[in-house]
Amino acid sequence: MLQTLREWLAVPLVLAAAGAAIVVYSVNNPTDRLVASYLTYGKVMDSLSEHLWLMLVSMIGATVVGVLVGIMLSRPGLFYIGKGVEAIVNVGQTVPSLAVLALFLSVLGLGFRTAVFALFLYSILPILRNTFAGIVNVDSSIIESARGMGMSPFRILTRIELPIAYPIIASGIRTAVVINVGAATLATFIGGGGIGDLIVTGLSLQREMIILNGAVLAAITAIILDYLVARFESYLVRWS
Amino acid sequence: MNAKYMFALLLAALLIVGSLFVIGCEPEEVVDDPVDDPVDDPVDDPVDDPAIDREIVVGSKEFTEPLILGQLAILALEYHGIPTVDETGLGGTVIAREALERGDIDIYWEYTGTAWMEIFGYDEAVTDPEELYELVKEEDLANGLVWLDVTGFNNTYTVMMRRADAEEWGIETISDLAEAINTGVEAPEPGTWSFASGHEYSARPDGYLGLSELYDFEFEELNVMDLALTYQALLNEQVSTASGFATNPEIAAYDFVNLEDDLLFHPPYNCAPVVRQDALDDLPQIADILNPIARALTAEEMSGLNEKVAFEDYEPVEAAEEWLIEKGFIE
Amino acid sequence: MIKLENVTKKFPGMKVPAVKDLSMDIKKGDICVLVGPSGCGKTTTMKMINRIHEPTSGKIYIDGQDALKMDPIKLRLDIGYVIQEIGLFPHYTIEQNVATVPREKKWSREKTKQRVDDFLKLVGLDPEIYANRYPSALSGGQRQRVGVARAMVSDPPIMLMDEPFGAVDPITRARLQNEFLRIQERISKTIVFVTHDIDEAIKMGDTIAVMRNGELIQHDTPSDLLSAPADEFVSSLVGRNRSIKRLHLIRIREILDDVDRAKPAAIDLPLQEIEKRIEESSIRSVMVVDRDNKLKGVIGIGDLKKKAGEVASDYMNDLPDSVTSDATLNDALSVMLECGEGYVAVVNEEDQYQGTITLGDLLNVVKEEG
Repeated sequence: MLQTLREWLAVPLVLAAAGAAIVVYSVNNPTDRLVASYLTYGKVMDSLSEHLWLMLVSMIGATVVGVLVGIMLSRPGLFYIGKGVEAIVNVGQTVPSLAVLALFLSVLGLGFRTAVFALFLYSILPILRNTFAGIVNVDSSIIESARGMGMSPFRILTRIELPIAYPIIASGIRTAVVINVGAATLATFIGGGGIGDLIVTGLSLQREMIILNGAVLAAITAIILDYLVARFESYLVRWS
Repeated sequence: MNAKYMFALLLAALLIVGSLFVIGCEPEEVVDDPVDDPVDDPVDDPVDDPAIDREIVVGSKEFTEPLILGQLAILALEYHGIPTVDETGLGGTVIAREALERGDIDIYWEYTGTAWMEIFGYDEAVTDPEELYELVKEEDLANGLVWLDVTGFNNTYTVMMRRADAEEWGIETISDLAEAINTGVEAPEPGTWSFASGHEYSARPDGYLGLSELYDFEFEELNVMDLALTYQALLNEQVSTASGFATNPEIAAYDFVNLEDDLLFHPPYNCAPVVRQDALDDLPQIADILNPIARALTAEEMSGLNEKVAFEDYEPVEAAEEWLIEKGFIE
Repeated sequence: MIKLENVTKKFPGMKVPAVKDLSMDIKKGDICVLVGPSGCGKTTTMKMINRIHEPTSGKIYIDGQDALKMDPIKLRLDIGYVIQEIGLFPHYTIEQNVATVPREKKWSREKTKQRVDDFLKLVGLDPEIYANRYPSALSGGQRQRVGVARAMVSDPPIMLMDEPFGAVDPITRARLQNEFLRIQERISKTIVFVTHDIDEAIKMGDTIAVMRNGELIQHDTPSDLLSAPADEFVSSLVGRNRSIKRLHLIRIREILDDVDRAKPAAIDLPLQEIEKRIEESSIRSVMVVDRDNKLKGVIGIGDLKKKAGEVASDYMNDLPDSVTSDATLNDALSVMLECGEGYVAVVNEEDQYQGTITLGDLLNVVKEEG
């Protein structure tokens, strides 16, 4: 158990330490007064925690709604609607994330909630699509033999379809996480805060040190989350 | 596994850092030293009939406000019988300025603050608009360039409120705002003294940091967002005040007011037509034609012109013509 | 046991019904093989019995009860189901796969475990080795066995099998068929078996139902089907070489008493004695067995020229293949042709020597039956 915990946490901890080292160095050795006045521990922690909240709330929402809607659309009666939604989702995915933010800006106004909602919608797409595709692509002979042996549709869903589709659903969640970390840096444009604050302010002040801190934190967050989700995915999938 | 991840991290870090350097290292705008670029001796130009033979080439930078200003100049000069060539839309400051210095154009509108910082390269800000105008005018005379009368608008950073709120709360200046906040007056919608600001303004000592120090106040809430969205945040009552640029079209469109910078904190960006001395020698009436127009352009007028182009689908020339007729400069 | 009355199935959007007004009776403990070209409605017919497809009209009775009025989930729990693609659950171990129906029936863990092990053994898979493997680690033949074990484990009185041995090579198929028939002798289920292979139908079926275009053409015993095909279609289906097809109908053990049961040679039999036995034998060879009568090898007359030693084991060659006594004569013929020999050794399940069948023996059978 301890061994597993160590395996799971080793990489994230090393990365987090590297990130912390860069932040500590930058705060203590600012390149000029402008950097010194902007880049403080308080500012970095605020941005990071806003960022994680943005992601956490939008990802949990997107996972729950994406999986549920994906399941619903995969039911036989809704299959063709599902195909349609899949096509729409594929197109939706090509809309730049900034455009998604802008779209909801006009409806929901500025700030954290809009950013969360836009991230939520943007992250739903890969989860919903993969859930739908994962379930409808389960070999029909497997479903038929399960039916033939007297499993109810609900049991088939929970015992057969979802477990078999799980790796695909999980990779959808992984995609969503990575998209989410990146898109969350755009929340700053609509007053949503997050690590994007550092990056965009750094860019507009033309101070590489601020940009670097923002970019490194965003990258480390993305890698850690991707690593953990990948770990979790392979932890649950021992077959195949 | 770990080694693989560390490698991926390293690669990612390299990519990010690399791309940031690319972003961060945009070429600095290089300003030619005007002294190295001597102006043609205007005396050599033979002038027979100035009103007919001399063409005035009008340039401008390539964004809404200068484009409109350029059209204003063209229309007014043409109205007074001076043939012009339209060279508006010349990109950024550097390109327009170089064209003027070389004599490719005879006239374009420039901002005092831009000339002071970007063209002459001074670091120390001069915050009194009139003082700054005199300084840049003086400096350019030596370059054979004449700054005509300055406009009434100052396209600098501004602190804005919704007009109705400003009137109800009796706030006209930034000092009034600071007093209202410091005395605990209840804020307009959304109920807190909140401030929508672009990233740069929020973090610069010559932005919000210096402003709050000079006026001795602090907003209860600082909402950082894209520069272009502060107007909308103010309009939608998500903040009670916002930063912006004083002549942006949204100010007219959304019925905002600029609070007067009564302690002269923001560096001024007044605008004036800058004319080559030789052109002015040939056609001295240019000054008489353009000066009243410049003086008539208040922040409100300019914002209104910008609004027509930005929101009402006017071409710059159409907005300029309508305004000139309305103000009686042309018929 | 299973009774279909005027059953018709018309799929939405299709002009012609997949099954037309079909009536048939299947007796308890019989294997009824539905055979016919693809699209003839045989699979649809089978799948209406456990209501994977609902009949458009008609009645289906199981054990006298109206199957269409039963809860389909309960109905299916008591009908074993094997399809050609097997449909093993890739995320379950072999043990969990086989335990599917017991789990749905909420059996106790101990009972389930016991039954799963029993049935894995029954289909020839050692639970110690295979119980915790995943289907992806199994060969095609092994998966078929797991599929059969999974269908039978809760001891359903009825089994539906849709080309259950369709996806394996011919030799494995023959072995699986024989194993299954041996198991069926013990458990005697009522089985509806779908195939497009008339040879398999003749071999497996107690009765054969020939279908074409959704209609039942003839439902008879294999023997009657071969001797009295109802029409042109059936006779073309069973083909011209009906005498050879009869070889499918006869088990080796049925003729073993009548053939030359040449005595095998013990592994330490002296050379002299071996020579004598070979000369007596019609195939000029003698089988070698160990003390437990297990088949070890063969010595041909040519092998003796080697002068390699004193006893049988010194001259023995490996046998390429053998057949079990419950295989059909057709299987025996296949092995002979495969090995290029005029004989094949017959063993029982424990690999003990039972006798030797020659090409001549098969010829006699065909002559008698013809």
